[in-house]
Amino acid sequence: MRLQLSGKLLYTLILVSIAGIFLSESVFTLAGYFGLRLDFSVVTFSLENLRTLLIIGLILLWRQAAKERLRPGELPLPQKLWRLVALLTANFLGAFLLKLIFPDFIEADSAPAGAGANLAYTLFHNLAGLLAIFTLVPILMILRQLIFYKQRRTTRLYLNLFIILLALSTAWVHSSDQIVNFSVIWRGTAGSSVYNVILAWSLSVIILFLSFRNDWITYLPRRQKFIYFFAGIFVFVEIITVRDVLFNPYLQRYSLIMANFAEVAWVFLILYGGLAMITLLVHLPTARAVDRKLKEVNSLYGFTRKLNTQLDYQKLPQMITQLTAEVLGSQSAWLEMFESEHNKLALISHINLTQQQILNNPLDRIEGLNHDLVYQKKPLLINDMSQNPHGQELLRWKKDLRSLVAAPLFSSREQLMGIIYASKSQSYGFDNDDVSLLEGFANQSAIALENAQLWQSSLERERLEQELKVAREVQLKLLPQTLPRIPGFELERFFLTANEVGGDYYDFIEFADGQPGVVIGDVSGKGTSAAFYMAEFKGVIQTLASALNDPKDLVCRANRIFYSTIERKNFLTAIVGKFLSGEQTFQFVRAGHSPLIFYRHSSSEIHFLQPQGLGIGMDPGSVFDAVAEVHSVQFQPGDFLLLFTDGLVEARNHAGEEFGEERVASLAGRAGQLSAAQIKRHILDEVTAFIGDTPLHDDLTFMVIKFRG
Amino acid sequence: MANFDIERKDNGDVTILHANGYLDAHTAPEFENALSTLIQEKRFKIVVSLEGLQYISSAGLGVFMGFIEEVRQNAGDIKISEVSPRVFKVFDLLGFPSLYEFYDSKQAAMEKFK
Repeated sequence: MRLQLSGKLLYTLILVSIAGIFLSESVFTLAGYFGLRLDFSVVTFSLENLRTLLIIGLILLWRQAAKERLRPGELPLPQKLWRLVALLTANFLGAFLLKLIFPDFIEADSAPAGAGANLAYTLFHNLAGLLAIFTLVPILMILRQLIFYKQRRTTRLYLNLFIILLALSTAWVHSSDQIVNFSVIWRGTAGSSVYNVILAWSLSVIILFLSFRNDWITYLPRRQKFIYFFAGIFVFVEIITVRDVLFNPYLQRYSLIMANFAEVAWVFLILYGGLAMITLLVHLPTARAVDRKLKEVNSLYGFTRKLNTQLDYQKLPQMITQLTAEVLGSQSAWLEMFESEHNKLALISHINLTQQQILNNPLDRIEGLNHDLVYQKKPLLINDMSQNPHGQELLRWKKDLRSLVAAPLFSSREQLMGIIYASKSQSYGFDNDDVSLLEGFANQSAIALENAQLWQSSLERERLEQELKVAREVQLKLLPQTLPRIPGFELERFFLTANEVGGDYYDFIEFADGQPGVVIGDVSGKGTSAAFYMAEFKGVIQTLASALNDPKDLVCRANRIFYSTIERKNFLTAIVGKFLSGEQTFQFVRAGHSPLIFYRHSSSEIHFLQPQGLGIGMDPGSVFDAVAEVHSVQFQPGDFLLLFTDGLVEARNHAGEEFGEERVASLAGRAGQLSAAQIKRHILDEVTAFIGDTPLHDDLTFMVIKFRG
Repeated sequence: MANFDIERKDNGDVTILHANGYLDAHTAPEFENALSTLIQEKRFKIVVSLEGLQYISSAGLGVFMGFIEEVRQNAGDIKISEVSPRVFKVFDLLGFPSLYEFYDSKQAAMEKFK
């Protein structure tokens, strides 16, 4: 029944119900009092029904009010139990008080003569009935909460069955004018109605099922188990006696439905309470062990929570030793981390070790004690140094060492990370629970340390990525932002780095005589160092160009400069070309770079131009100068040049195949009629189609120089 | 990724290194180690046989350049033999033939050391 009534309305309705119940009962008395005559047969029947309905209504209303008012679901367990006891006691004392006030009515089967006595009789019964309703309803609600302490699949089903049976029994009580008699269970069914037997048995069974739901007992601390058990004895006596004190016999006279409700509630209390007492008794001997386990879980939880808040890898070890010493109650604790490059353990944090002890740590190798720890991956416990083969050595190292526990730390990839130790200055200072606790700590510490490491390295990576981003921005700024205008020529270029920063380079220069030139280059290696060389190269080329007229001169000088600065295993390749004035001549030097493709429009021929030339930075100068060759191209209208880095030829598809020179050549061959911009588009489309979604593994740079004429 | 391996054969005071597979930025350190071991042993007469080499990148080329100076200062040399045409193209593009001696056979290269 999910009544959603506002607080005020609810209480008004409750008051109205109470008044109604009271009035319905005393209407005859009152009528007689005022000298009225009522038609008995009709009025009694409807009044009885009205009263029954009002009582049921009051039970439901009070249940709703109690739920909102007392909120038993939100109370902690001890308070729930305390409420339960308080309600029972209120019930008990209330009944006792009623008996003191109205001693004459308890056994009286009918109202005594006289209007005043009659009213008092009615008042007594109503008070008793209301007392039962107001205490039993919240008591059942608390029982329900206890049952739901740990909900299982069938819990709700059983509870619903119980409510249905309660409703059925109410209906039966109403029709048969007797309450469910539970005594059929032990006295036998002779002489009872079949319905009574069925209801009594099914209610008892379902209540028994529900009574087994007392998981809350398991998790009680040992002390509370003892307290609850002994307090429970009195409460249980109270429960047993409350039936006779409160309910019998006058509650049945008041209302059979009320009495039935009380009876069922009482059976519930007896069974639930009885089973709870038995469970408590059974749990008493193991209470200490459960306590320890709970403490273990709690301290492990606290340990983990504290460790997880610490992401600073530098501070974590000290925290680990500190917490370990605290929880195990040990005088000393220390953490050693494994250094795989030295195959040794380094003591990185400690509690209560002297400088001397740290320096002379005998446990810094994977041998002796540590050997088993590491290779069997099991914790270690020494409670008696005199009995241990390593005891003497340890005692020489630390005189007050009497008991020792240790556990290894393994990473998630089963790599040894370190070992955590804790010691006490008395023998048998640790037990097996301490060992398993330390083992748990070690596992959690390993996770925390690993997390901190990951966090640290991700910070580091982020920083590096940021720096690379800056480097890339700088590098991109080094590349020309605009294309030069050279009369008769169309120029296009494309540049894309595979890494954040790369070693490819292109530039437009102006020689000392004012003639324009182009440069394309590729520094060996990748990443930041390549980008640095590229930047240096740009500076050198620009400076030399402003002072020189001859491309060969420029390249030879650049080589000498570079040879003296560049690392021996690095080099760079380049093509430096110059547009000669007045003629349609392009003069260039190839310094170890990929050949240049020349398309002759008139014959539709493709030429790979590869004049001799060493890479820059490979030779001090004499060989370089001797080898370097100047080549000239005489342009005719429609001819074009394609300069590129090996990123174009070596662009790979998912199968690992290279784009290759042939593809570049055939591409160029088909591009005869196109403008420089169209040729660039064409090449890009082809390369993109070829590599698909395979990431570039090298920078990709090319330049198209087309002569319009 | 493709593999790379290096075999070493000492023949008198000449050492032959057989480099096989893919010599790129990932495998170059292996080649580098082999050469620096020879230099530590003061064995400066080196023939690198590239018969089994399928690919060489600029990082691979850089390894030769990283050692040639020291080797030559010690009256030794790095001579290259049995390069496949495909790989030779890379050496040639960069002008290696004017700085290093290339031979068709190990024997011819070793002869030159005598």
